[in-house]
Amino acid sequence: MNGIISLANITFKEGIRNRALFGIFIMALLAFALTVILTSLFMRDIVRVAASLSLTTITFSGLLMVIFIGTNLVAKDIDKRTIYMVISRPISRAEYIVGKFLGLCLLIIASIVFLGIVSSLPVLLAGLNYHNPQAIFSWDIYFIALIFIAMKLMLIAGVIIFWSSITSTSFITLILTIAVYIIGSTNEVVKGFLDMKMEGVNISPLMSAVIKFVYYIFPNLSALDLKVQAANGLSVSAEYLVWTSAYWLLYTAIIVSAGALIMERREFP
Amino acid sequence: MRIKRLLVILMVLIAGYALVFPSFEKVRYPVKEAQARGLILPPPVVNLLALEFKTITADFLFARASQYYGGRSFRPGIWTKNDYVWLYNNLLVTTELDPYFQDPYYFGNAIFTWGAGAINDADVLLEKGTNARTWDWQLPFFLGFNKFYFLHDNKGGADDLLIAAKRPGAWDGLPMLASRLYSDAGRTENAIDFLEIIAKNENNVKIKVNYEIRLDALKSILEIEKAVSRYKIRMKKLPKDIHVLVKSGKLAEIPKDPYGGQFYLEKDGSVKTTSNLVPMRRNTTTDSGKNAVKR
Amino acid sequence: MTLIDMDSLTKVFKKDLTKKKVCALNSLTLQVQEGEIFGFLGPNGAGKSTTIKLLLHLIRPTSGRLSIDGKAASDKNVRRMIGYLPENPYFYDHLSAKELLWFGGKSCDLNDETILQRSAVLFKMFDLTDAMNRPLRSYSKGMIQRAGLALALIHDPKLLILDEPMSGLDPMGRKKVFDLILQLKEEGKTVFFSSHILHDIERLCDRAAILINGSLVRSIHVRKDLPAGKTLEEVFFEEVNKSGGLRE
Repeated sequence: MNGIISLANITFKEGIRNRALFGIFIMALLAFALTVILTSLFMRDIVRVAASLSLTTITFSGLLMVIFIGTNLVAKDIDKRTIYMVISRPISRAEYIVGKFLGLCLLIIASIVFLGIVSSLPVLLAGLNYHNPQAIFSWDIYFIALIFIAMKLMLIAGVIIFWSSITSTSFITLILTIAVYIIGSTNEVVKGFLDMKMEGVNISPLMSAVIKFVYYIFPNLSALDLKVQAANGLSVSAEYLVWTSAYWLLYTAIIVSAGALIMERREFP
Repeated sequence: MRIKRLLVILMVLIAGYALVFPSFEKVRYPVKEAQARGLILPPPVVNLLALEFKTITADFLFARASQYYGGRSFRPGIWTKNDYVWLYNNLLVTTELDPYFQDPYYFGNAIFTWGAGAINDADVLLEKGTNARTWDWQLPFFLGFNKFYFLHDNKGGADDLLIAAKRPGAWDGLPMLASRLYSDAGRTENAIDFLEIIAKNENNVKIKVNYEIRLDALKSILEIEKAVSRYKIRMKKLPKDIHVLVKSGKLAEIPKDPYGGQFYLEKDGSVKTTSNLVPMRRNTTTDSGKNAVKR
Repeated sequence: MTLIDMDSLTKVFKKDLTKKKVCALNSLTLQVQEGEIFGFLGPNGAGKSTTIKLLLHLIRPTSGRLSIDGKAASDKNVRRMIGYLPENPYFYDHLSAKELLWFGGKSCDLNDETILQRSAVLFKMFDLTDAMNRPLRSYSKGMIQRAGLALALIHDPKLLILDEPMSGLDPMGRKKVFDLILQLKEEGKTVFFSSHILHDIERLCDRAAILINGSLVRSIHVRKDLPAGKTLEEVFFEEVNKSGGLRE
């Protein structure tokens, strides 16, 4: 257990001092400033636009961060042989994977807390400057959406760790992760088409099987996207939060354990 | 040893995943539906934010629109004003991102005309499409039909038909039809001619069937209209209701409305049906609008 | 007492694309006793690093048996008693030496207080006290090597495995490592180190093994077994010539 904790700790420290992170944060801050300017172009639903742009900025910067830092995490360890220093400690390969994953999660949490606090400023400003009695906005749902963004990024971190356990080439990890991200953001909509049984559209049994496979095997990332609810102040049931969190937790645990299992078989010559 | 333990953990997790998935899916469904109606920013803003991914964004937005509509049309009567506004904004954005994308125009035309009566919205889209897709004769043709049939603007309709007639592949009879519109001859007969062209040009068999149903209905209306005018000439007055036509022998029997409604006569003698020419039964799939999605 | 026990240890690497097999280590049988300083000698590519990676379970043997202190090398707890310095060590860029040692100590279940105490001693010993809070990427090659040694020693291991500890060091640094190994011997530790610098091995080791082309050709007690009037260097060249030159 100490092995996992200490590895997560140094992974976090190494990640937070990465120059790339600094650049991504600067970009996010500029986007928040742009949000303030953009919102002045709208008439009524200003808080809604500010909230949606802020959350989109956080998602985008978070994705950049996780993908950039995450794909290099294991690949660089193997390439530069820093992994020798870890595996020569009483740390198993499975613990190495879990430790790296948890370090990345710490990094995600820290970034989302920071960006979340900064992002609330344009929203606050928008609310103060233009009072709109018709708009419903709730900070509760805004922060739940933030937590869900963090959860989504952690799931993607798990996916990155999984691919890293198979290939040592960070570029291949990057490509595969982006593929999972795109599929995960759309598989629900595609499955929706299948369920509608639209007339004039014939889906072959093979195609239908492929869609179902993709739907069950790949993560449903749109379920973790509550930007629409946050922007419009729509409530989300407790039931939804519970089941979606359970789904998220199990999916992430599965993908990380699968990565750990594969890593156990690897050698580092 | 360690691998065995990891395998057991993985199996337990997968079993848990399989257990949780149905509950997750159940709570997800309504939220997914609500989310489909997400934020639609004004078209210029979306255009700006879409960077170089305009066509794919258009595809995605349109997929959402058509799926949302498809999901809803199974439950008639729950469409609200907001639904139409959302859909209209969606199509405006989609066509702004990619003005050459054919589907949104057809889709908008199908949805906003027969059932919804939002002809002006449909026409805004069709005009946008007519200007962008300069090679496509069907969009001005539909526009002409809308003006003639729904807006009673024969001259405007005929002008659009002439625009359509000049485009490649257009049906030869269009100038003829336009001239008949200019002379303001029988509306229903012209509508039948229009639909016959549309049906002829439709390759999808199932959608073609839908047009043929609509043609049947219009032919029945024409039959009743002819009976009304014969009655009018004979009796020098309008029939009191549709049954008078049968009793007086001007109509062999009241035709059946293929959409499941009842034909009736308005005070001014015009023929109407309680179905308003859209399917009346639940879960019916003969609505042409929905089919337009995948053309 | 035998600390490291290798029994006909063999490692065959498969080249990914060509599937060509390369035998990096061929049936190596070797014992290292507790308290011994053991030199592992051989030209480049002889299988020294392969043996060390097998000891640390970085790779698995194709066949043969390997135990350390009576336990299989695949048991992660074995590595609690091993301090390892890789050849040309490379650590995380943005960590400081202090954080590196914290990781080393924590992963071996030391408490924070012990880690601080031991780090202070080790930094003093390796002249890193001034640099301990600086990120490792600002270190020179010699400083990295010294930080690596401090990391290998933080948990007070009874077995030290050093892969080419003298390479890349200036004469002063070499002297430091030299003295360190002697000091470790005095403390009763076992040191297993590889080198191709014969002079160092001759002066430091109790025993040495000569490895050529993946096979053990000779294992000698440096102080007793050397043929009269011959240096280790002469024995080594004799063996290389006998084996018919080096494999490409």
